[in-house]
Amino acid sequence: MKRHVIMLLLIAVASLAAAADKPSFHWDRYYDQDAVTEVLETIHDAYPDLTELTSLGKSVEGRDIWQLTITNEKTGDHTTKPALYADGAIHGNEIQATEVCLYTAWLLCDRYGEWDRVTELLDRAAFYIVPTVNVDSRARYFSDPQSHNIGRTARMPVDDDHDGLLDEDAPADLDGDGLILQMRVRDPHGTHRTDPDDPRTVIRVKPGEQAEWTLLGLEGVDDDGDGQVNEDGPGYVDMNRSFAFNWQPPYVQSGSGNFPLEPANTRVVADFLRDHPNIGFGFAWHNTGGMFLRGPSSESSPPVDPADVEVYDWLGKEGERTVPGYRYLVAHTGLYATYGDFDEFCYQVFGFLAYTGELSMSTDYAYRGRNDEPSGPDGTIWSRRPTLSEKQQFNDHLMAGEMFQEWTPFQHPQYGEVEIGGWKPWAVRTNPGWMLPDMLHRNAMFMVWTAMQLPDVSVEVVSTENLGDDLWRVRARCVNTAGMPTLSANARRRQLVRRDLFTIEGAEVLSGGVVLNHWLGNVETVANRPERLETWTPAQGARDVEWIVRGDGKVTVRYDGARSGAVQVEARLQ
Amino acid sequence: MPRIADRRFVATVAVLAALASTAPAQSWPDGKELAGRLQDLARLDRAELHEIGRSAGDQKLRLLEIAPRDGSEQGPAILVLANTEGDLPLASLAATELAAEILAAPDDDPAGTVRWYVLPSASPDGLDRAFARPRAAGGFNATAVDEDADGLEGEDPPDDLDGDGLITWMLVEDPAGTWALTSDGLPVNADPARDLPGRYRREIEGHDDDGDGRYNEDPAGGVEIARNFPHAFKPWTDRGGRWPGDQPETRAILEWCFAHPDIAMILVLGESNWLNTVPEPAPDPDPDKLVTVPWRLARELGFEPGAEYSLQSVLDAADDHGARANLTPARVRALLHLEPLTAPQKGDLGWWSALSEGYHGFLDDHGLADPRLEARSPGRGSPASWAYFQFGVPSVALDLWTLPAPADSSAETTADSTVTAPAPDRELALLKERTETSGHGGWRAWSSVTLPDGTVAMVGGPEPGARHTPAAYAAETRARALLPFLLDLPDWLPRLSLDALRTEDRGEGVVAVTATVRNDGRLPYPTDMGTVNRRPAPVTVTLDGAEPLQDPLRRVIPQVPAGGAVTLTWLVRAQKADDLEVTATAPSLGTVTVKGGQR
Repeated sequence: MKRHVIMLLLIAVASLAAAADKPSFHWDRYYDQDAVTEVLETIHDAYPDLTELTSLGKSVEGRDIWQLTITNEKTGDHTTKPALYADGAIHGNEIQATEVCLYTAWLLCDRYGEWDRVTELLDRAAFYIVPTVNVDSRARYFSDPQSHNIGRTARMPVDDDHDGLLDEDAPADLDGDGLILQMRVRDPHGTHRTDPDDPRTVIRVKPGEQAEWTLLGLEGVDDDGDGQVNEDGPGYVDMNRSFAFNWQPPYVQSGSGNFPLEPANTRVVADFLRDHPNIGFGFAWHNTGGMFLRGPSSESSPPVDPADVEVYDWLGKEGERTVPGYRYLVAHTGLYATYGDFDEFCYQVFGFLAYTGELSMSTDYAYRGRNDEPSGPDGTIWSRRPTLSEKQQFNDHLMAGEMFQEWTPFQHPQYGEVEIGGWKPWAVRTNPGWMLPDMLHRNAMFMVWTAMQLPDVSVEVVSTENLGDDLWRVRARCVNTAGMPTLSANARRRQLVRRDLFTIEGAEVLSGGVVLNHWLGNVETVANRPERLETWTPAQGARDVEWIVRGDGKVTVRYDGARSGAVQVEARLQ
Repeated sequence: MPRIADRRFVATVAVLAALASTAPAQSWPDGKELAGRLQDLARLDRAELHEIGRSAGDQKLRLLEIAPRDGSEQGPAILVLANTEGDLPLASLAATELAAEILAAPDDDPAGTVRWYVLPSASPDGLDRAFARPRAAGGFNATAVDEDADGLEGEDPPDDLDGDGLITWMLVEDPAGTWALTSDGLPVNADPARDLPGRYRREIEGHDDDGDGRYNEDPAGGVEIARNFPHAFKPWTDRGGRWPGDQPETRAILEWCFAHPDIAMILVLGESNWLNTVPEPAPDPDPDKLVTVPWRLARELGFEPGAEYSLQSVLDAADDHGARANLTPARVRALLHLEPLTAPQKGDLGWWSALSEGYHGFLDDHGLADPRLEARSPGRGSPASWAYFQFGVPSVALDLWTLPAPADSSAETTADSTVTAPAPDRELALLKERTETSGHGGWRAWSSVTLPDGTVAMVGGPEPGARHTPAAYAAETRARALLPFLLDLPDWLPRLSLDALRTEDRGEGVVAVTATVRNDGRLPYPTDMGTVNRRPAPVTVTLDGAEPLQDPLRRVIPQVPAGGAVTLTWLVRAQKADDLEVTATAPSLGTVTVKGGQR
């Protein structure tokens, strides 16, 4: 069971299924970055009419940052369709985020032509998927000694301890077992003692209790002789603190980097978002916690427009049902404050809504009967978290004890005799492979269902009324049958993307405007350019317009939205 | 013996006299001419020209590097950023001339003791606009902006209706307008109570090209680089960029700066000034202020989540945990949502005030203290505020010209002989008066035009850029006269030195070693702000040739005060005192070493 999650052999992965030319993959394991590339290439090769595979650019260490576009190009170029953007593993150690992206890509392609709603979705909308943003650290998660606590950030050297040296004191695999685990030293004046419920576990002593251990943190030595251990490991530029809205310098937001979007990885993502104004919703996948987070990300962030909150709330509640146990939360009140993160950047700079999805939950490791109470403490978001001894029972009964490395003596050059052991890295922030398929499918389908709510517009000429001679009153309507408006309230209010254009051609336009009440015939006429009305269409609603025109032939009425695509209809004035 | 600055002033005047035939007095050099001058300078010893990036319009960002006279590869260095506003040819010219003066300075001149990085035109697209015909206000780059979010870019630019080559104001007759003209022809906000009813709508000179009922609402786009830096960036503006650092010019500058840790000071030549008036410091946080500790921090400090505590008690608790959790006071304040800082640290006001006094003294000594309108302080997203608050080095923001105020000005005169900024109508009045009395230009008389729809409008008013860029001959002398002050800036920089090692024999090979690290400059290293944001890297001191008994051989000094010293002592085991060697180093200051010692 060693290196359980590290499945380097893609041969076992991309077996072609019996169904003709349709690749299938094992979704009960994790793919390293080479395998990720192969999965993407396999999908693209199998579905060339549905996919386009592009490298957005090179990472800090020179790896490709792959982006897969999925849509039926025969029904229109992806840039003309409403689109959903999803990326994963901007924190390189949060590896299953990549699998959610890969699974979604595979699912969409595999079910195209089989599942009607998926087929309709890819005919009218597009997905932009970046399975791994932090390709360097995720690659190293598989190739280097493994730790759940290393590899979150960009591979950019940073002087974490402000001593003038860069990354000079990193955790290390002292015992050479390929894992970077915990160290403890026996110490009657320490802070922890052995858990009487499970001898593998240490718990903090309470007043009156005798300590047995001092916890020393991750495996490592004091490399630079400054009296600290592991205080300046690789990185630390946290790319999900480097996005360029409400970005704050590192003394305010740890790990934000020298300036916004400093790592190449996030810069290419930001440029991609800017260059694709058809993106109407975003997901960034992380672990852990089982959460769908939205902004505001901090108290100093601007509020989300109430109209957009309604959409967020509706989608978020559906997400909670789609993925049982997950919670939809406002980031800074439900979790903690951050500055410069992805979803707020999307919402405040581009005006589309976005979630940060936190995959996996501590409760995945619950070991409880139907009527057992949660064992964790109350009062925090971790209240449902199982105690460590409960997690050990899970480990014993469902993983035959493989999740935990027994404490083993080790002669440390500075601490003397210590013990090394603890939870294996993959058992902390990720799940064993057998738990993956359900998690991947539910979260992927939440994305797919969300994409189904992207604006879906049609246009019709409701009536043409002759007012005498060649004078006509033309009424047209755009209907949006989906759950999202064509433009978010924030996009409209702050002009973050162009407004939708309701236009008429083929006749001389004398007047025009948006119909305020189509029963009473109230029209808000515009003084200028009436043939080119700037507007938007609400969710599951309609936008009516009216023109007074002079003409006698064919007119073309068109509704063109940056995030809804363009539709048009013709009518005859006769 | 005159001060060096005085001697150099004399020399500068002489240099100017020699250059008089080549220096254009009647027009500003454009981008092409500046590039040529930089290339000429790059042929001189110690100079090297770099292309640090490209503008949005694909023009080169040319940076001239000038090495110190002693050939040292070490810091400190001064970065000169000029004309991030784009439409300030005076600033670009001054930076270029500064580079020439640095290269021509005498051997014993402070200017030759440091490395200089000079970027005379930080927004070459913007500089081009200052020479465009017709010429409009604003030195924006070539990034396309859809200002009115209608899906079109640049579809309604201004138009030169009166054919004078300038885009000025346009007062469109409108009964609902909120502007009026005084009997003197000055535009003012309408004030019916003072018999000034609204008669005009103020627009920029031009047509409604796209027929949307608005005038010039979507010009050729562009972003002002001076608003695109990350400190206190203001989102959702037409001219500041979509996000901080999104413009290629800004990104190139940021990347250059962080790739050159020897930069110990940034001089920003532009429209703003941080020497005229020293900014107010950040107020001390009220230690008794009650704060709610976020649950994550509360858990770390052992506090009750959601409960209120005094700020001081939280800071004290964090101090207890500091070594483990890296919880600096600034970080704690950030977690309590009391950051970021937007006013200088109180501890930095000493050197800031001294620098300001030095500046005013220079103006007084050189006859440059004539009353002028006060330049604005660096604003949100400006390079100068970024340099201090985020890059962590002293930031010297200097404008080169503002409108002269009349000697008998009724405006309030401050102690530094400048006058407070007037309301816009006063500035307009000064421009108009100056044009009419001295012929310096800056104001266009109103002329009547008829718009295509028959509407009558008045075109005229302030010329674009008139409040910061006069005719070349009127400002060049003043700007050049300021150069000696800038050439003396290296004298202010922190300088690292080590006293001779002191050793004390404690018997059996045990030695107490004492090293004193000095900062011989007039600025601390780093600034107080630098200690908050932990940039630039601190001075580290390493003792070699000994076995430590207690303290690590490599130590960090968080700050070395200006003109001060920090003393470190080690108890070590050493074979010979002569083997001992202490090295002090910092990327911005270089490295110094002292060997041996009297045992």
